[in-house]
Amino acid sequence: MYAIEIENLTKMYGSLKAVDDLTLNVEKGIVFGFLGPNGAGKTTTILSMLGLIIPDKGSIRILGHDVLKEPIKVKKRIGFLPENATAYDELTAWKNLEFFANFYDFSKQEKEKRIEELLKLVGLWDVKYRKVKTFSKGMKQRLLLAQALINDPEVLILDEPTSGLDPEGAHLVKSIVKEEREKGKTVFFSSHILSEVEELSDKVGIIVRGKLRALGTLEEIKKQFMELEGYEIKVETKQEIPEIELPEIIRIEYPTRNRAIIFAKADIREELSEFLADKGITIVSLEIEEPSLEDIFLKTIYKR
Amino acid sequence: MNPFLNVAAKDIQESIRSKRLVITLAFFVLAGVGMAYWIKNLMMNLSVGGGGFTDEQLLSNAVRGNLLSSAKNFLAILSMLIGADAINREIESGTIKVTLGHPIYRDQFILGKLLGRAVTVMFGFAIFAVVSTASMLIIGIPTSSDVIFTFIKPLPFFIMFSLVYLSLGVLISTVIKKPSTAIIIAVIFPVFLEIVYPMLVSMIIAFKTISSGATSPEAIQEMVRKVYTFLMIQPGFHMDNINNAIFYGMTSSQIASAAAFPISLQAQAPPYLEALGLAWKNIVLLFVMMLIPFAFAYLRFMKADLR
Repeated sequence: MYAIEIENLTKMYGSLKAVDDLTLNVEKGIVFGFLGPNGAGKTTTILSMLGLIIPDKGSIRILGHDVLKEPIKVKKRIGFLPENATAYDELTAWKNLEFFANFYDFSKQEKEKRIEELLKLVGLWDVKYRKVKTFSKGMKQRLLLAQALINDPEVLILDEPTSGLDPEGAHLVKSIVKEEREKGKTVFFSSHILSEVEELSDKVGIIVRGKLRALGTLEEIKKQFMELEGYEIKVETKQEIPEIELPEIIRIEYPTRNRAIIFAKADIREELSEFLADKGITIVSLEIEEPSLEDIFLKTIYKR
Repeated sequence: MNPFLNVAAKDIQESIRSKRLVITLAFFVLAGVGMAYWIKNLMMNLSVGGGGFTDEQLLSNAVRGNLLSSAKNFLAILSMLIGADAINREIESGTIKVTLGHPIYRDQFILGKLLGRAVTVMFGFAIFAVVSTASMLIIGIPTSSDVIFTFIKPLPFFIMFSLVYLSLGVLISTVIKKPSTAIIIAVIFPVFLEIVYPMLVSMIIAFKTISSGATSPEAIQEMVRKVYTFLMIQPGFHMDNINNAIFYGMTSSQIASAAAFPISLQAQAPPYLEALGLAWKNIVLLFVMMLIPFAFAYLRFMKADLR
């Protein structure tokens, strides 16, 4: 069973299609990175997952429950950190968490223990009785992270979780995400920070202008990308490189006499080494240049 | 805890310490006491023969009238002010996304907000009632012992009246995105509806009647009837009618049509149920006025995209 199943999700804002027929499944126990530029439809998708936005078409199921038909069953088992949000300014950090904890069936002791654990986890224990309005942006974000974890959720949904955080705060978020994965929880997080997605995600989805442009593990996406855009193979030899003639080659660049960069339609490393061996050329190195997530992301964004 | 009560309790904690409540309270207590003091001086000066003021019942009724009027305006403005940012401020700060990410239905959320803010308004009203009554005693306005019932007898209807404006405030908070704009409207609207509108209606209709040359008692009766027809949309008119029924055993129209203003001030309160029987139409209309804006706010909120 999937943790999250999104089927044909469509949401219009006037004439603008914010999300366009999005279908996406997220397996249980993985960290899913939802990547896209600003305005791509990431937040609309996430808010639809919470029932905060009512889609024009399509359905979303989380842990087997329809989010619009059984919202309470869903929300009891998920944690949510929204983007550009804050906790209640006039309440203290403790009171905020107490308010959110009151939505669940905790006993008084359980509730207090959980609040204490979380405030310590996010480093706000020493300021627990301070009003949130006196907090910095980073502290507010950490408090929001704590509220998302209050019910020890099976699925954690984080919308741009490191936005506005200093490096220490960002590190904290990443370590919590990793910890949740180790516990077997599912984490769905959106970001436009490529390094973050690359570091944390088991699976990535790239959304551009409301449409899902790529989906899979990082390796799968890179492979899909290379199949579409071509392979870049770097070769260095002891002797001068002869003219290479293989049917899959698109073009070759020769930066030096014994080095070549080959652009090919397929991975032709085997054929290439045979070809060079036949010519009596000794290969020093032969490697495929994998595209970075940044290359893929940028090309995906600008591709019509 | 029930999510609805959880939201209400949180809202009470937040809004009971708000500057809006304190400022509105201070303004109306001062205005109410000032007005009572003025009435006292006026009645002393009006007393015949220079022997000082003797009719305590008349003064007590006049002071009560002033208190009730102040309380009504205070409740209208405070309720609307408290309600006007119930939803839009949560949307603006993003707290609504955080809260609705937890197991709570949208209707529990909006009903919790309404309850929390209604309790806050009632808390403000209780302070207003205690402070203004105490202040009158302190500044030496002679009042009869039944002055303490001024706020108690019509309390259920004051609650209903404040819910009318609270519902209007909540409606505004679902329609107007910017809380600061909603707050400005929340001050202007009740001031217009409770103070400016009745003055305008009375002046326009009186001017029309006089300019048509009609001065017969029938024409005056007709003018009063017209004024009251236009005031039917004003919650304060119904509240006044209920108060008049409770304290004087007459509705506003009976008082005006009998041209019995001074008599009415001396009239005695009828039994409570009998008074309610006199003003049942006003009670029903207040109830309807409370339901309609909240129903609109509710429907709008239930279908809104909370971005």
